[in-house]
Amino acid sequence: MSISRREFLESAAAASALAALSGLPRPVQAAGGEKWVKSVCRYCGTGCGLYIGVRDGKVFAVKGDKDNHNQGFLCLKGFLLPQILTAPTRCLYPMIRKDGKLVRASWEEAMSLVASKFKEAIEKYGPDAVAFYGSGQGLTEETYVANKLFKAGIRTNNVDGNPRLCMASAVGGYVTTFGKDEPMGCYEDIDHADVFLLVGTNTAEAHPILFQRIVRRKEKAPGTKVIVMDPRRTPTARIADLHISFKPGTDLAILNAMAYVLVHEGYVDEEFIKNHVVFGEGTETNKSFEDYKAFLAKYTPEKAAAIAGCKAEDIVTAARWFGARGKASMSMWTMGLNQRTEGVWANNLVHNLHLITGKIGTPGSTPFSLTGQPNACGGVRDGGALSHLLPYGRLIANEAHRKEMEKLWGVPEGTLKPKPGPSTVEMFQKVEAGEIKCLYIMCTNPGQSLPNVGRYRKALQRDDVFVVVAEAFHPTRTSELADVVLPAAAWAEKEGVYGCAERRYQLLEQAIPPSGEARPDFEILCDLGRRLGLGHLVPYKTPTDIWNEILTVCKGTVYDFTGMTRERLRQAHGLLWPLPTPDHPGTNRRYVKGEDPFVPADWPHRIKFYGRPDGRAVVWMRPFKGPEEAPDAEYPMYYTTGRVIEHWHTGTMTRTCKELVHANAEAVAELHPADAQKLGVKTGDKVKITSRRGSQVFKVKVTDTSRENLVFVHMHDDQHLCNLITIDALDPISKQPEFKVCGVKVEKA
Amino acid sequence: MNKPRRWTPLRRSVQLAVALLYLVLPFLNRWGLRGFMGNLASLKVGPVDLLEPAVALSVVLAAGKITASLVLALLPVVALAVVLGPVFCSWVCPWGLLSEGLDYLKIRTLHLHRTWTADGYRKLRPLRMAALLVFLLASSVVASPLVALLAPPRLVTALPQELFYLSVRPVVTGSVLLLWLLAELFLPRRWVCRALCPVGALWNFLRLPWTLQVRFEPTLCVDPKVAPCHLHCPWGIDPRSMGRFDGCTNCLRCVEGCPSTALRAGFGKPMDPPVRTKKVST
Amino acid sequence: MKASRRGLFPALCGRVPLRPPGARPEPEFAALCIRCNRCITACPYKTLKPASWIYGERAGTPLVVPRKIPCYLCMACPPVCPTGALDPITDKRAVRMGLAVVDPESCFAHQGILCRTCVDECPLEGEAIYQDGELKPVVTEKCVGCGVCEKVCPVAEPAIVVRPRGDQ
Repeated sequence: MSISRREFLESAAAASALAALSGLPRPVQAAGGEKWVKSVCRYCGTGCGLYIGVRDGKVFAVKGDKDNHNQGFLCLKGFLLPQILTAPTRCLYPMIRKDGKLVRASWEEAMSLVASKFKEAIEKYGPDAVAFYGSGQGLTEETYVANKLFKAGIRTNNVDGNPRLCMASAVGGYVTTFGKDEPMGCYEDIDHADVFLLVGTNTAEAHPILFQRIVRRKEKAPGTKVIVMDPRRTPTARIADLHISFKPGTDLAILNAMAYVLVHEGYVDEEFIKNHVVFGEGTETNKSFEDYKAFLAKYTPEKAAAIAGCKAEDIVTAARWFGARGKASMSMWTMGLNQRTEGVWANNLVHNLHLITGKIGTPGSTPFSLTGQPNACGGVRDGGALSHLLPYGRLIANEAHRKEMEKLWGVPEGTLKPKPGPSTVEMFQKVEAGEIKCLYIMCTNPGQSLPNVGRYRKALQRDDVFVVVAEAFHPTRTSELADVVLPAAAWAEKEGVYGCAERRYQLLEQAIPPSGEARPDFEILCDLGRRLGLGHLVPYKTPTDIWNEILTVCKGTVYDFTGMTRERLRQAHGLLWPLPTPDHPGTNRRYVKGEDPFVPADWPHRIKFYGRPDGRAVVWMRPFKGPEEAPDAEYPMYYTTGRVIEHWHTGTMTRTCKELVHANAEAVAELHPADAQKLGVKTGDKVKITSRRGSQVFKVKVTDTSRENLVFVHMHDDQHLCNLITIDALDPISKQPEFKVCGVKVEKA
Repeated sequence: MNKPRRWTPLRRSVQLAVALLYLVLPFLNRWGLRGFMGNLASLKVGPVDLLEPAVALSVVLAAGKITASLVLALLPVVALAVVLGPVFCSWVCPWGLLSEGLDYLKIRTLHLHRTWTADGYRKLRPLRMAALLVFLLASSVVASPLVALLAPPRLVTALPQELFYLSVRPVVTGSVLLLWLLAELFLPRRWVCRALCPVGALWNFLRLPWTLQVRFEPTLCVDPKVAPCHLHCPWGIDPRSMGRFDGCTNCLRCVEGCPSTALRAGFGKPMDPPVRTKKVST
Repeated sequence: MKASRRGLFPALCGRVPLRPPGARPEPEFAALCIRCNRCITACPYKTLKPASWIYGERAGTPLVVPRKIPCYLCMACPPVCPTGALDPITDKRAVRMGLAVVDPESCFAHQGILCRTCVDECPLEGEAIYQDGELKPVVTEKCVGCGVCEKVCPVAEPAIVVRPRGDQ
């Protein structure tokens, strides 16, 4: 019997290897062999599918999932993921600050301390004395538990997350224009687009796999035009047929001028406007197309070019390409538009271009916001883990929504507070003011990533603020400030769902047990809940328990993905919601009749923007105002930050990969040759960059990638904090800070 | 009769100044001085390029061609050699200074005779020529200017450059210098300069009949028979009997040591044919 | 040139150093270089180093080890050469130090791993190295051989290396 059993196992091993090669889902573990576990990349919001190779209980490789949207491709960061699991900076046991130093502690000791501090703060100062700061990198289940625990259990709306720093303006743009968050298009639109408008995005470095898809589209259809609007001549701009470089913060003028050209040169789809569009100004949607035309008169290409410091004829060309009849136009943007005090408005203006030309909802025509984090969409935006949201499109300020959630969560009516909590920056300002006494930070690094970070680092260091950091790595620039550090299980060490930029939900399966004493974040949160006497709200044993509850919560909303059972997620290589029934294939293009299950079959038009009560999207008249802090005599240069391909976010993970550090060791200040000459510096010299908020010394890289009078620094270096300099001014609608523009002076150091 | 001028203090000052310059130059270069750079293979002084003639000849033979920039850089140096004689060895070269110092130490510590055989310098002439020929021929064969690679003047001025400015480990320069130092210690007195160094050998050949040189006026000599002129000479040359290519480097030590005014440095009519004194044995 | 004039030791050890920008083709460069170190002194990036004995009689001549410090094409060295071993060029696009060669066996991009570090860092920005339809790096004849790509390549044993044009 034993012999035949071994034979059986060997054949199973062979089968599993084969299954791995052919990309079959769920290869089984064979005795002593290796297994390939289906998962998703830990890094950007592209959400590339991959398989994690496990041998002897260790992750030894990853490979791209050929059956997922990335067609087996990964970028270098993703390929090197196995290294982060064994990095020397992994946080392996709980730590408590004693006499100013973080020392090892037991889980029991750490958790009872956290629970007692939270209890004390809540009893003494009320529930709003505690806060949760989450992440677009936490799994959907984890973020859901935290959101429920704090809003329904502790009864505070002090719940926000780092998507406030990256996606809030995109959310604001979608919600104000279409009534509901999340793009209506999908990655597949790239394969059909004839014109790409890439504005404020360095896709080549921030979303390499999507960039690759654009490049392939361009190769396949040689007439494809790529318009890149970015102050810097980024690697993305190198494939551009037209690159418009402009003064940072002036793109609203350019986008309005493009609309001016579209309107005045006859590219407008009047039929579409008649059926699907209303015009608005401020918050009212009572304007007409004629009002809109009058508004645009201020933005002739010449006037916009004078404001933006670019060529008027380039704006005209861009508009003509974008508006060309019979061509599919796809726009994409990231932080260049979002991280702005006019971020929501800039988003509105991109949507306007699609709405007035009717280039929306057909293959290749869509305004598509690219996301920076792997689960900003799925976990935080959809999951409603922001201070003004409840899960799946519900609002805290809306009484009906609150009541609905109270019922779903089984808590008494009136449990949920009606007043939205503070947004991220406001939350840390409350920490600074001493109003928030206990802060639970999960899976993110605000000690490096907040704007004007020097100010908020000081706030986190207040003696009367108790900071808990649950993180898979230590030290980070946040965990070094913590009072308690809790070791969280890392990617591959836990199971859960990520939702990426195109409404695609995918399951990350657990490949290996957590390192050291680390625990999955949901377990830590459930433990905290029990210790606070709220165990009945968080009774979960497995992530599947949580997911099943989430499915009941999304039911009946326009997000409905009830058909995404755990088992279906395990089999599938990503599913796009809405997906209301187990046999629904998922929705590539939202709002489109025949594709979106929420557009009635008898709807007279091809599209219905059902997010708004009148079924129409809004063309907003958004004037150009300019950034909060434009350069002046004292701080004469523009300062902007961004990504490079080798690293990701605060570098907590990528800076543990030797290959990535070799390729890009530290943040450098990219200066235009003319500026370098004025300053008398060359590549390798050091400069001190100073703003009204702080200063930092960087090495110089002289490159004509940069625009004159603009200095760029990448944001991934924990030793050279670019955010000591950035401004913490907020968009009044989205509350997203203006990381992308401020005034600085640059001196030779 | 005027007491002849004391040349040695002046010469030492010049030698020390040059040596010091090459010690300091790396630091000056590091602080941004760009107008003066290089070593004793080639120097840049402001806009003027200077090239050491033996190195240049070795390059010409190695490359099999002459370039205009080469000739241009050579002209001022050759002019100096033609006017003042092979002063490079005795007045400029830091290795020369080092060699003189080592020679002095060798005599002191090993208690060698301070004396030279009177016609030893003449026997070295073929060896010196052979060494030069070997250097030049070998340069041509391996197609690489070996004088530049191996000659002590460049090595000794490149060493501080590599140590203090370029921050490289001076493996090549150091190893060859070490060999020359060993040669200096174990070969007969000052053979490195007198017989082996291709740089000095070539400078020696750049003498013209009217080049500055020590001239002997027999009628003024106090005691031609026992005159110790060659004992003063750091290379053991007897200025009364030397020929044009016998190796004199115009250090003027003999002139300084002459009790009479029979030895004098001057331009113009050469002492040709040389005044051959009888062999003076010591 | 006759075989004997190609140099003895390089012929034996087969090593051809990567030369500074503007260098004459190899046997000629080695013959003209007088090891005056002036180009090495002129280099603001400490890119140039004197060759060691493994280069035989070419020891002491300047070379570039791109994996350590590549050439940033500031063009400070060509004009200081006294012998014409370096042509006094000033246009970085005229430089022909070498040619970058991609090893498809180890290059990430060739394994379907999207990596574009070499393309992004190339100082000629798309002229010397570009990505083909499959986003694999392709080196063009315009490559000057500065070695920045070799320096930044994330593969431990760089997958893109500069072959000196020297003796080719």
